[in-house]
Amino acid sequence: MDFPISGTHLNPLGLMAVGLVIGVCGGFFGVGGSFLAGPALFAFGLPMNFVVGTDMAHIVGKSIVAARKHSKLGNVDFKLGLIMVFGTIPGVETGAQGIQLLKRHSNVDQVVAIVFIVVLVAISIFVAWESWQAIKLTKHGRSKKSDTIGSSRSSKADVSPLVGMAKRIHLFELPPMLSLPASGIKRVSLWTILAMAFIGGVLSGFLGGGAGYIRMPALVYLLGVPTHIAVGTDLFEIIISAGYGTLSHAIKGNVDILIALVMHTGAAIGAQIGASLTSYFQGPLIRLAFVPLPLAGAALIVYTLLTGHHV
Amino acid sequence: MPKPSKQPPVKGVTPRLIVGEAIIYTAFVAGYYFLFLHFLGGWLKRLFEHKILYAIVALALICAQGVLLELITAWSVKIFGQKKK
Repeated sequence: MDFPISGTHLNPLGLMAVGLVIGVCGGFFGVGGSFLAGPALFAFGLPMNFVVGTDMAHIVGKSIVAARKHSKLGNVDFKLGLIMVFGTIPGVETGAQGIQLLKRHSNVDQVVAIVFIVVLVAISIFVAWESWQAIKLTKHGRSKKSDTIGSSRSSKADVSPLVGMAKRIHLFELPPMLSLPASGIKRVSLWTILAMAFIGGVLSGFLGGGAGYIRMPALVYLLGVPTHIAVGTDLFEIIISAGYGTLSHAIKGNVDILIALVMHTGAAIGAQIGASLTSYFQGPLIRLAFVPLPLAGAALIVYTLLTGHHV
Repeated sequence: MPKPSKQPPVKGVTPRLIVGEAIIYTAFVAGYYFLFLHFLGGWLKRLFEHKILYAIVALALICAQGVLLELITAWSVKIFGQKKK
């Protein structure tokens, strides 16, 4: 099928299949899936600037529904989400301007692809290390309240070896200081939140998607937000920031909305399957199962860069 | 990625329900694709010349599709849930 906006010829069934896999990942792992969507679109032959903008548009459609569900469950810290927007939007614009700069120098594909590979490999290494440590803590019965994110009484409490990091970050006291009761945070500097959101925004604007792969661990490990609140708040924040990113990239001519719409149909089916599958699997093992996915995305980019072939 | 370690079990979720729901949903989506998205390309291409308008329409389309597919999902889950009972 021809996609006249980006001037590409792509198989719509392939796009739906990618959307399906991303949707399953989203429903199962609680992530947006841009670590697979971006590399897959690039491998299909879409120019990198369209990959970034289109992936961002596709993530908006997914986030609206998911955020609504999390909001009903009380998993959204609206105060934190709205503060983060003020850091994310300048970040998204910075990333989008970076894409424009690279477009002018005609090396957008290579530079974005290399940054993508570095980020994806780093995510895989981090998640592998973190989930392995969490499994060891659980197995040896060493998990105590201080190793737990969220309320230890809650069924949603999560064992992690990185809990102490959030406490150290809360010691950074540059005014104004805020309290976030919905996330159980007594005192945190506004600048910590804005800096974290800005970095997520830059990656989102530069690599596409919602950058949940950065923002989610940052919310949990750096800010100390309970995992279920972090997922809901991240999704709420993504609607606004990715919505802005979609507008910004579309005005710059980087969004093929038809591709996003076709891919999103598959993602919607996959999300239902993924959410249902979570009732069969539990615990840090889910995080460990996530490890190969960013590596698969990185391998797809390396293959496309080295061979120049499109899938 | 961080994930709640203990998910509350989803009552009544069976492989049969998942496959059945996916088949119905796929049929809806395929129909939607051929009836609507296939004919949208030409119009969007012309709109692409007016970047600001295109950006607003693009955002509205993806939001509307997200809500529409969610409504279909909720409906199909309800139908299959009733059959299961």
